[in-house]
Amino acid sequence: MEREEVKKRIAAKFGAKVKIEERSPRRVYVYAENEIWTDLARFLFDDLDARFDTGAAVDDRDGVEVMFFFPFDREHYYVTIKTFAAKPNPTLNSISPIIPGAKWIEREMFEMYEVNFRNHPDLRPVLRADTRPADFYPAKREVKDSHETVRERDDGETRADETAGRAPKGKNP
Amino acid sequence: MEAVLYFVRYLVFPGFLFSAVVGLLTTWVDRKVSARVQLRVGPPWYQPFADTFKLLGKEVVVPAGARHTGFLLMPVIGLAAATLASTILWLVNLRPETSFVGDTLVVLYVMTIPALALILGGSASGNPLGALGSAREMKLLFGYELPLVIAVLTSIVKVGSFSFEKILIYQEYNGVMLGSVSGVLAFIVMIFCAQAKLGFLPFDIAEAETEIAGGTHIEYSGGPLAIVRLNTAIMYLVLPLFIITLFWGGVNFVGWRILTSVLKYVAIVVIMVLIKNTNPRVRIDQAVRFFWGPMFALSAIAMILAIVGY
Amino acid sequence: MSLALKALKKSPWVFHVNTGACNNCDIEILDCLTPRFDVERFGVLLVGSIRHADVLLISGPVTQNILPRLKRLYEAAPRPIKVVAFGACGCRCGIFRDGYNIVGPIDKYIPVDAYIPGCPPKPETIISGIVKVLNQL
Repeated sequence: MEREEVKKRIAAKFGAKVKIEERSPRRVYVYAENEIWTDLARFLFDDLDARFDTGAAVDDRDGVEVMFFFPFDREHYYVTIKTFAAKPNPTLNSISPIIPGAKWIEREMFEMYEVNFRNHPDLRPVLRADTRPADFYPAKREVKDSHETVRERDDGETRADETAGRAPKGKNP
Repeated sequence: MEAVLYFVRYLVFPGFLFSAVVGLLTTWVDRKVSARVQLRVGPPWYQPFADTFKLLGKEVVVPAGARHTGFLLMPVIGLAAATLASTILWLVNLRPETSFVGDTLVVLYVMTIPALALILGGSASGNPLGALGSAREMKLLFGYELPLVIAVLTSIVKVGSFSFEKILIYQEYNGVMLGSVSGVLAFIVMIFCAQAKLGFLPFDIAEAETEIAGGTHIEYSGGPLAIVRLNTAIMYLVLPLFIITLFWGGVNFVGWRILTSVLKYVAIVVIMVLIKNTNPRVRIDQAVRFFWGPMFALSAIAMILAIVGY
Repeated sequence: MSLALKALKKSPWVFHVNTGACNNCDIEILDCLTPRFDVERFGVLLVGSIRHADVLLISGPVTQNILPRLKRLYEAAPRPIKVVAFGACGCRCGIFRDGYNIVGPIDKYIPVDAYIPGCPPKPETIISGIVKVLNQL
């Protein structure tokens, strides 16, 4: 389906709740509100016959921006749908009842950012090690901003030492 | 005195020592030809011996969940059987008077024992991947034994006797089996069955390295691993010799025939190496379908042609 | 030197583990087996099972998930075993140093016999590293 027609049909169906942008010849961005998230996904997947590719998420300090990518392979362009799940407790409707292939990427978004997905059949961490505590969400801005990592740095090393070419001071951590 | 002679024949020449050395050299030929075909240099001639001696010096680890005695005994049983097959085959080729009626069947039966030892050793290892390799080897065994036996029977039927000596004498007077249509068909079937029996590509499903981390070999280390690899090496000597004896006139160390014998042997080994290098691994169901389908049909045609007289 | 030790120098079998690397080092190991460098002429074989290995080649910084398995692999290897830390990540965690699940370089948990630095190491470096490991025997 051609790009112009896709944009027209999405705008016709959802009206004011979406904002469609086209930033490059191969990318169409659709900013959607939280309520129509699943309807938009179903529209793209079932009616317009796009393929579901993967998802991505970013933690902007007020909330988590979640995006899913739907390519139209024959016409060589992507339609990306984005939404903003506000903090605290970012929550979103899960699209895995419609697209089962989205189950794992939503589990990874949960494990990294603590984004809760309603109606997800099995929302638990997918890559986290068993020895981690249950509330370890490494990509959250609060965690990253405080520079907490598992390894304690007790060797007196700083980044400036490495970039300036000086030898490391402490023992191998 | 006779007993000492038997011991020497079984253990030194043409038994264990001779078969082990020549078998390991054959594996070297395999690796060198493979390397050359892939435009590489390849290992030096002493490589298989270095591998074996290195393995004899490594620690032997028996997993806690393994059946200890069976796990360690199986490679030795396989080695005994492979050495026996090699001894009988060399003796009937070099001294035809040691042949007896039924020795083709004896060698055929004894040649299955190394595969059985591998199956039992793999499942005794206590490793689920080892059990998986065992199951695959069993299915492969069901697959290739059928065309193998029919191809062997083709040669026997033509001669009318179960003894190697009569087969060799027949080929002396009537020309090698390869000269007839049924002989050629049976020879082709035997090459593929030998490929599966030795566990080479495209039929090395049982000990797939990248797929199931070594399959039946997975838990063997040190001395037992050296024996397992030695079994493959000795079978690498036995199977081409078996094919040559049945279809190509046997080996002979009289005069010029030394050269032709060595060339025959190297030709069959090179054919197997080339098949090994140009094919990917097939799945177990594809392999069994291959042996019960085209190979069985080919060997059945060869048998019928042999009965009719071609 | 015993016969077995002399034979070990001529036929080191390598088992490769990736503990969280970006796979570039793994591709360079495959490079060494290609016709241009061809380490098989030294007897080096890549084996499929740790029980067959003489050299344990570990690439990557150790992630928390793989740490117990790495320890079990080291215990499962039949002695004598040589451990080689491969790549910048193997030696000192490389660019993954501040990762949230990196628990340290390899020699924090396993005694290492040789380090092959580089990101990724060139095949010449890899062969030189193998020679150094064999000379330690």
